[in-house]
Amino acid sequence: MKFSPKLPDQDINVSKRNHLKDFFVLLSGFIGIIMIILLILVALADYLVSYIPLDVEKELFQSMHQLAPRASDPDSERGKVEQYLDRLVTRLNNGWPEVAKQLNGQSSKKQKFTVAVIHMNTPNAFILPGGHIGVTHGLLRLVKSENGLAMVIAHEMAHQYKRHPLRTLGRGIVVLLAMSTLTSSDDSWWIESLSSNAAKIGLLKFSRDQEREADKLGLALVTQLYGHRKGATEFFDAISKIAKVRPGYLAFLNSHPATHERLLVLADKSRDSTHKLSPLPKHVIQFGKIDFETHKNTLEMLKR
Amino acid sequence: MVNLIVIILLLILGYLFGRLAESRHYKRIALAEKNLLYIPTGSTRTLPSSLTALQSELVSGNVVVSVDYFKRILGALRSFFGGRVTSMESLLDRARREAIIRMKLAAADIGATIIFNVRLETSTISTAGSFTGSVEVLAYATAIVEKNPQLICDSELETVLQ
Repeated sequence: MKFSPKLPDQDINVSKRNHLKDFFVLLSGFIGIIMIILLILVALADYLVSYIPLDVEKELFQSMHQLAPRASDPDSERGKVEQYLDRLVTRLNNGWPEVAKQLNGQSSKKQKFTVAVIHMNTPNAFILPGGHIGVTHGLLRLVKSENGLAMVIAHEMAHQYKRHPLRTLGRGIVVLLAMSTLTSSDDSWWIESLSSNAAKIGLLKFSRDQEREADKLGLALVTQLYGHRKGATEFFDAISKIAKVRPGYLAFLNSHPATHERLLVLADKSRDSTHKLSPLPKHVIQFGKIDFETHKNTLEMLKR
Repeated sequence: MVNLIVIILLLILGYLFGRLAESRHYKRIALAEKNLLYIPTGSTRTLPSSLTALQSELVSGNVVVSVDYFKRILGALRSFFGGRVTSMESLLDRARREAIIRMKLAAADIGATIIFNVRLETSTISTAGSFTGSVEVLAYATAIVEKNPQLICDSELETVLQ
């Protein structure tokens, strides 16, 4: 018998598998699991929020409100604008029990709000947990009528009526805790990055839903106050012209629904010419015109 | 968001370069295995009686191979769900075969005609997070320089090396 050396069978130890397919199957499974965990946690956080009384919320976040303080001098220009905003908020707030009755079938109590003007050129408004509304200087400059301003403020108030700020915070905390538990068991940075990004994108969906809800409720509040919805689109009309828009396929990265979508909801379809816009008080228009960023001494004046 | 883009880029680069490196490596391995086929190699500890050794020497071949980023992530994902880590199979296969090739090259250097008692050792030398990054494979054996290679009976060699 002749010994003839031969090569071993090739590839017996290497599986013929499509790694790309494997990768996408496993990755979607992994992201799916994260999303399910996220959904459960968010539902849990939402459930718990309703057990936190409003006054406890207010007390908890009192120090946070100091990040956007009111004018120290109520008689300063800024102070007067804030007093005007207080009155606007009160008028909107007065309509809430009736609006809640129409929407939910049962009346709801009015809530306590505070408003402060923020020195920022970007037209925007926000609400902090505990009902502290921030209105930027840029927004006061942008809106043309009280109706336009009222819509933005009513939108923020709607967030508070629905306890959105606290819910968002609660979600953020539980998701953060969950992700840190998941990643501490496996110290690879990419898992952390993947899961936290998946979680962030997942949370944005809730954010967009909240914005839609706040738009709807805000519109109801404005309609309750003025009897019509004319002027409600002022802010969105203006930002649709200046804001950069992400293409539709990237909409899942947005924290807010697309402006054109919001405009469709808010649009005044009646076109009734008898509906009149309420003008902004002169001192508010005057205040909006101040360009505090180019005039340092004006800024000093505004700080008072 | 930025680190997600970085990860995706690394995955694509890892996949492309990993594939390229692997197919090149396999080509080199196939060629070297063919060229070294003339040295019979086995794991038996004892020499056949008809073989007269003129010289015997310990030969070793050692290699470190790393897996690409794509396969590493795929392996880590697999370790999350469980199952065969197929993405690591080619890494170990390449490492083993390359180590044996290097060992045989060392044997060829001293003019060895036959190799006995082949042993393989594997160890992880770097980890990425909790998952294997690079592996080292060491192959070592006894290389024999025969006094008269023609004297060894083919059938005996066949049984010894099986």
